[in-house]
Amino acid sequence: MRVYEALAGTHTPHSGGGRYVRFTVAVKAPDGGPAGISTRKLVREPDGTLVADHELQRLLPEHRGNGFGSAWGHHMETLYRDSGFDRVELFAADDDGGYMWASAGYDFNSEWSATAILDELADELTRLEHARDTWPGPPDDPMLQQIIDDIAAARALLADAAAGYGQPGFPSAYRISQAGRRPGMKYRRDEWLGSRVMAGSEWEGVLKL
Amino acid sequence: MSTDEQRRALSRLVFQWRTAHPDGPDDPGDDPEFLRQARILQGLDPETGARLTP
Repeated sequence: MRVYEALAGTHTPHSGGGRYVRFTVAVKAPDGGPAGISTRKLVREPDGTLVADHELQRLLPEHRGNGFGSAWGHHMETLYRDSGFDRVELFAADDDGGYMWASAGYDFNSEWSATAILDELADELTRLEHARDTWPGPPDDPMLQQIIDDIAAARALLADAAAGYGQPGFPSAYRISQAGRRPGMKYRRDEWLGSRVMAGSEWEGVLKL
Repeated sequence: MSTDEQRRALSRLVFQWRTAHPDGPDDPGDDPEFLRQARILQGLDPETGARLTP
């Protein structure tokens, strides 16, 4: 890993004010070749609150799933916690990001983000109900029971979402991401209601430290 | 527990798990014990993830 760009600046009042340091690191593979890039912005808001903005992280596909993202994220989070940071913010996207950041404890940082995921959950509920109603197998088929369980889980989440974004009981991104998951299931090997809904999604996330 | 307190409690749980499992899977939920603890923390059934409290 090598830092190849770092700069300091001041946010405009329209952007909330405060000062920041932004740096970008190049991630290298064990053979020294390029593996990806990561940009972080560390912000001191006008009231002194410290916020880390994970602006960008891209790993080449062949280097994903090998633990770099979680190790790098944990390394930085240790520094944030030791330095009194309040939170980390990011935009969850890409193939894995929509699910993985939720599974790592990030929650929705805007109402539109939660709404986008709940809309996808409602679409998934429609697909599940269609699958249930047209199921070609016997009624005691375990796969049909899984669909029925997922329908109940999706309905419960959507009912709780009626509380309104930011209100107690509103489903967290973590809760949605793990809905329908049985202990022992593994991401990338298995799929469940929450992983289907969150994988490939895009949303603004926040990790409260 | 407020929403913010619940968010911080979950992030601490993930952080502590990652500290204890530096070579663990990317997804902490791959560890069944972590999944159970995280669900309990959120007031959910540890096996199914269904909400327990009204």
